[in-house]
Amino acid sequence: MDDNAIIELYFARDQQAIQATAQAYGAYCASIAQRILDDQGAAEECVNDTWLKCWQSIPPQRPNSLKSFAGRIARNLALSALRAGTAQKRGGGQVQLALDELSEVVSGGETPEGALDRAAFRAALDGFLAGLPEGHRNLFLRRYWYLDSVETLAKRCSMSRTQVTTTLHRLRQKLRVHLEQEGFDL
Amino acid sequence: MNNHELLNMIGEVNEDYVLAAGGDVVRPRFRWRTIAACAACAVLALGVYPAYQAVHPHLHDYVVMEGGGILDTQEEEKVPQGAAIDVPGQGGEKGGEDIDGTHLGEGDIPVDAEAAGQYDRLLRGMGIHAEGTDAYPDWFAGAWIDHGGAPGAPAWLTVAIVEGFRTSELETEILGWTQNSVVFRDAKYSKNFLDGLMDSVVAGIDGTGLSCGIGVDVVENCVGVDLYSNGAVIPDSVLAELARLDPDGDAIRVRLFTGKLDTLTDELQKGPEPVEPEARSAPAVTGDDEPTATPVDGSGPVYHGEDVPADVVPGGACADDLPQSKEEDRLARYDLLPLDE
Repeated sequence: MDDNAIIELYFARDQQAIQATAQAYGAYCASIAQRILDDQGAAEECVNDTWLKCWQSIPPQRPNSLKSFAGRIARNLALSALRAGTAQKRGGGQVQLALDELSEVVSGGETPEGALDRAAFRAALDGFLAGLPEGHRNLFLRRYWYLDSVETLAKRCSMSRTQVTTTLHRLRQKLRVHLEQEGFDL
Repeated sequence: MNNHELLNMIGEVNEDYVLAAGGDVVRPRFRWRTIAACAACAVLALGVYPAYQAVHPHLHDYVVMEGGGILDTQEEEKVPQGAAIDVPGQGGEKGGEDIDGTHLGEGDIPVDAEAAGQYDRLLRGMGIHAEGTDAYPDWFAGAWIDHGGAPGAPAWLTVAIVEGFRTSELETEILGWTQNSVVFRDAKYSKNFLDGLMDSVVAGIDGTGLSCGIGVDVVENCVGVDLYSNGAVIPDSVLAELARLDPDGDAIRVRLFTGKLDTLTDELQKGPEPVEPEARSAPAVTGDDEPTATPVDGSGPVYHGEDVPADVVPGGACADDLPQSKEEDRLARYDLLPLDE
């Protein structure tokens, strides 16, 4: 069943939509949650919450890609679960490492509510990614979107661990410069 | 902004990028340039040396016997000096008669009858009844009767066995054949191999016009090649061919006898070859006594042997113009043995 058919089921409020989504993208979402939470039980719980969130969001939303939509929800829920402490002491090592690395880009101060134009910031991030070679863009997203480990990236991209680390460091420096040029007070 | 907010915002980037990054594992790029560079290096490594070898072939080492030696022109084949005669009965004796009744000349050593009998029984034991057969066993590297260098001294049979074949069982078998004690010696090359190599050497030198003596030296376990330069330079092609036949450099022993061969007296003479007016140009002496090459017509001075001026050589060239001879080039590399060795 393709994305459009599944989305139509959502709009028809047919509960088979959830089964179809789980069948199509269950493994994808589970892998994202598992990488973030590093706990199978918590990841399954997170994936189930993802289907519920999809049920609540569609409609009114009509995603272009149901895979991306579900994956994003699974990622956000897994990160929220991690922050909420439900998965404390149960992994999440890659998230913490990714956060440490991203600390190089931002100052670390709290942003006042409403002070950040999220749409503009998202556009700036898209602009940054659009300016990268495909390989570097994929590397950046595998690390900070999918939260892959450096070792996994090295194998995946046929690079050495040092090459991955060095490339990511340079990409973070580029991101910081790009965001500052876009006028964001980091 | 803190890192948590940035991580969240990264989660909202263009989904196309996210989906693209979530695709299949990135395959390593095929590094054409690396492969091409390696291939080029391999071609260079594999091709340059053979090309160099083709231009500068490896030449077989040789020993210069300064002043020459004796070439017996009465025989078709000259046994190299120092080589043992591996067939009993062919050696002569000093005075008197050999065991086969032939008269022995001065300097000949009589063959010990017992040792000769041992040799004969050895051949029979190996299944060889006629001289010249090439059906020697693979372990057989030759056999000879050793007199110890003293005429009249007891002689004994020495049997050379190819390395790797020598076992106590084989020695016992040989002793059974010879019915007496023999001396065993290890050797690298079999008699069959040396005989085949000798044929190849003969074929390689054939047609070069060189005077030479070729034979199997079983004592030294090699093919002995004596080249008589006869006043000329041994062509590199001959030495290259010998090097090709003997890549290890120990299966062929090359000795170069310098000087001119006098076929009338079978002796080699030192010094330059006399100039024959009919055969070559001779230097003509001008008013300034400067030699120039002119055709010989009987009107110009002709030099013979020691009469030629020191700075004039046959052919009309000045000594100063002579290129460095090959022999001189190699003096540092080869042993110089005395004439009367």
